[in-house]
Amino acid sequence: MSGRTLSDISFLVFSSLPLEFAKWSQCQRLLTAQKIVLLALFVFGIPTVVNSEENYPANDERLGERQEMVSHLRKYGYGMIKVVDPRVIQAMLAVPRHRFVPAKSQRLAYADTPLPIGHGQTISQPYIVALMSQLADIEPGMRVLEIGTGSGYQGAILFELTDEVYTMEIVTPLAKRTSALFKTLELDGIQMIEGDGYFGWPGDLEFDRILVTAAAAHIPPPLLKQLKPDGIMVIPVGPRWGNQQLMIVRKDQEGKKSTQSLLPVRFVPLTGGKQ
Amino acid sequence: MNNADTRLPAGTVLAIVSAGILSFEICLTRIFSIQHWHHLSAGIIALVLLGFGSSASIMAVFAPFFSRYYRLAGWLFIFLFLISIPLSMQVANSIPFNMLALPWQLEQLGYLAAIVLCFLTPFFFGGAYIALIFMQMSHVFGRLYAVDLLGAATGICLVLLLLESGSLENAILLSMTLAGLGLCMQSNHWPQRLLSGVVALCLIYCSWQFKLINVYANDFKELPVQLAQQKARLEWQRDSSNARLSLVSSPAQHSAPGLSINSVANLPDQWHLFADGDSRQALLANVTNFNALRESLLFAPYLIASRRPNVVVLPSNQHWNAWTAIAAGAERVDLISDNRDYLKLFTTPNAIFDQFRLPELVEGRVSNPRAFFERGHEKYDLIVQHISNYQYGGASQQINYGVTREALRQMWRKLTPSGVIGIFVRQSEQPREQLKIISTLAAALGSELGQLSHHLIVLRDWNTSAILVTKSPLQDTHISHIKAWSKRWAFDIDALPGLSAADTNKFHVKPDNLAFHAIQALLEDGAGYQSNYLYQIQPATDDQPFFHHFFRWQSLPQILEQTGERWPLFVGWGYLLSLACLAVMLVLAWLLILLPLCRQPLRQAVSGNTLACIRYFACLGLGFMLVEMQFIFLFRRILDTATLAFAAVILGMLIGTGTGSFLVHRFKIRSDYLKWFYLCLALMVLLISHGIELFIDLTNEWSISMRFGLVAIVTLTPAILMGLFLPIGIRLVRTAGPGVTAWAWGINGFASVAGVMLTPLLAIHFGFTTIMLVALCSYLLAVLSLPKSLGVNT
Repeated sequence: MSGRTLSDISFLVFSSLPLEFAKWSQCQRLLTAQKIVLLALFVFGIPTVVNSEENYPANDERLGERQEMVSHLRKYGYGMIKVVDPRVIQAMLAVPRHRFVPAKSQRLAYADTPLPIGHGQTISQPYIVALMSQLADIEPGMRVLEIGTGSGYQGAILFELTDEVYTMEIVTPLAKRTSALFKTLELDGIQMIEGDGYFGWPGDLEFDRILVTAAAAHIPPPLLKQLKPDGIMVIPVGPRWGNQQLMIVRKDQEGKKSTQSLLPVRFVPLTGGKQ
Repeated sequence: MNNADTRLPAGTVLAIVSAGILSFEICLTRIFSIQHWHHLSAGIIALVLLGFGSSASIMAVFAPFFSRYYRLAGWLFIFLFLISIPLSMQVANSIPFNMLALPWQLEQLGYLAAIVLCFLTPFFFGGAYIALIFMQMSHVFGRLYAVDLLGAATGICLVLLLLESGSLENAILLSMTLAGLGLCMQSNHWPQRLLSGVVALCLIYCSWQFKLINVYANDFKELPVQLAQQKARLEWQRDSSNARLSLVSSPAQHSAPGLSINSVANLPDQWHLFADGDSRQALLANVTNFNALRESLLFAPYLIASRRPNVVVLPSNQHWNAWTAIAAGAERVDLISDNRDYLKLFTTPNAIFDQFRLPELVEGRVSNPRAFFERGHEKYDLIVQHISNYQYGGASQQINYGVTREALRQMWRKLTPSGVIGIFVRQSEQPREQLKIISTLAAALGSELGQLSHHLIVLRDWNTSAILVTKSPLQDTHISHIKAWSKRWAFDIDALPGLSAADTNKFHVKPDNLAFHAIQALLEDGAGYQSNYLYQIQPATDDQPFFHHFFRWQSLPQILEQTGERWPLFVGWGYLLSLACLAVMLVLAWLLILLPLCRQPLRQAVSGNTLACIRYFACLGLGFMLVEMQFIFLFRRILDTATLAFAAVILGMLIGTGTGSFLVHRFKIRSDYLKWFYLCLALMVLLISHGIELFIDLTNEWSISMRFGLVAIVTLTPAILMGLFLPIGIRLVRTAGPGVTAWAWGINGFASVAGVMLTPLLAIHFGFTTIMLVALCSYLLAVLSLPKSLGVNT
């Protein structure tokens, strides 16, 4: 089975989750089958990502921690949206998160927690990074824009999924630091500029996917304009240190827009309300 | 003891040092608000009392030693207090404490403890000096305690005046100057005084010159993040006793609350205003195009309000709201804020920034919303208010009196027959804030409206809910207008007469459409739904106001099952933190109370009366603090700002208690009168807490200074009685040994800490009436403890 086919299956399974949580138990059966396939995929090492072999060594001293982190993400408990896309999982395994984490937080580089990277910004929790990448449903060749480069980790994950990654950072010192890091890691394919992401990428480019990694107070109209028809935008909602939700903004073929909020955790009122 | 020790200078130094300590306490509330979160600043009173209590315990342990070197020890304590002000600020700055990361990173608990220890230091040394004086001159305790409290009251007045003049750093310098003055006066001879003066001056100068006492917002707050952006500039900054306001200009400012996803409007130019380095809001410059304002959820109330409405906007995002009202063709707009500096930025006639000046139809009113409605006679077509939902710190204990049952009734009376109340609230992961507001609306207006559902509209985007209540039943034209507008701008409807599930959750899809179903259930079976819901959504009242607290213990198993290790995020961890702090504090207090008893002289001195001593002084501390906190909360309704209420009550309490203490010293009041004093006290406290509405009616037309004076006098009267209890108790025990005075004072301090921490928790669970009853019970227990036990030793 190729990675692409598997990705299709996982997306089919996954895309039903946010709206149809009640079908969770049915999904579980599918997921169990999928776990077996994924396990086989790891064992036989079938490549499913775009750039990892070129940019990162196949093995490094913290690979074990990374595997543990990914294993932890996949074990999230009842009600949590699972990270099941094999390409995303492979990307999370391939990208050495510790290279994007400041020296003083190295110990926690693979903990499932946001970490400070200076200037009040954070490198997002791995679960949120994986989930955003999965929700964006990125196929190779898609043009992806990331608003808020930050540490560069999310950008590097996206670069594992497609060759066309554009990223913008407004905080000058962060932009300089991450640009240098991209050079060091030879991630030259990532197009990075320092600038105000509110207005999107300068020029007339349109994007298949847009990931806004900084929580937004409203959805910027100029960004929506740069989203192609049938495009998807993923935005975290809520405090960056707190309980972040994710939101998907869709633009259909006719240009109609809608949002869909996803809860990492599902609650049901004890009485009343629809169960 | 040397007779010279009882001369006035000892009392004068005590008063000056007390003024320094209390002024730094007030400064510290501002420091915490700016560097961390204002929710933490409520714990400063507890921190100060903890410092006092722990120093008193240590003094009690080493009483003979400190008695021997009394002069030198006094000088040393004042010096350490002085130097620990800049040092504690510097060390605290280097601690990477981030309140927001507390549920994620356990080490943050360690950092929090380090910050507490850091700022405990000045109060420990300041408290040690006070305890030393009390211990050394316990025969004139009543007089000294009076001087101590009057000095503290003076310190508060001075620091508030300085804070209002615009700089927190100057206020901190005042604390250091008072400590320096105390240091000089503590010295015996002129050469020593000169040397002390030089030392103090050097310390103060270095702190100012090297910016050791400058206060900055921490990296994780919004202000530093914005200032790190391209071309961002701090344009203006001003401190007050309320907040530090910072105005930032940057080309990357694009605030548009509630903007529709279908909008393509250009946003007005704007600068961003931050309060205490956070709570960003936009100030709009030279607005000529109203499209962005009309295509926002915040415009919704104007669709059903009168054609040229008179609007009142309660605090939060007022500049944007004022422009929205202007865009809707409002005839008059009143902006209500308790922050004068904030309104001065953009309201006529003397707006500081011309580009933000609002048209003359907008008027700024300095007041809190309750006081404004209680005093005003105008009727409004629209009342707009925003409710913040904090998710960090001790935010669960933040009180909002604007959405209580009584407040909503009051607003209702101020509405014209076609008037509308519009309440905006940010949505949480699960519906809870909006449900609590609807519950409160039903409780407040149910009897007048019949069916709330005929008057209620709830709209939302992905982030914010707009709850609109109309005085008249909704007409078909209103309903069709709202439906068309919502569809045009892609807003979802959660409540509207005749709405079906199929009409909802279309543009901003939420899992399970929970808000719609919950609101329907709430409107059908309010009490039943409230009592079974996952979160606490009971109606808020003035007795149990709107706290940002929704956690219910009975929901814990379900939350644990469904959220795993992320559970603290879903229960409002500020509440859990408060409980944990209270538990730690109680253990620590017990240990520190018992510590002096390890020494034989003290143990023998109180032998047979230990528990009675602890009970008496602990009950006094707890009762005093509960009454004080209750008054602060109550009188916020009479005075325009929380800070004024705090200042008036503390001033009244300190002067009253000081006077009571002096009366004990002057007239040698006997302990067997205490039961009569208690009866008077109970009567007064009950009268004040139940007569608050009368005070409000009485003072409706009064000026702010007259109301401030009234509150101070009203609190002063029971405080005089409360001030009798401690000196009488001390007089009974002081002869048992040199350390007993310090020990008793320490017990009183520890119990006061518990009182500070307990007050919000009691208010959340049981309401303010319960706090008052617990306070009176505490005093009663103290009175019952006194004759049986303490008298034996005298």
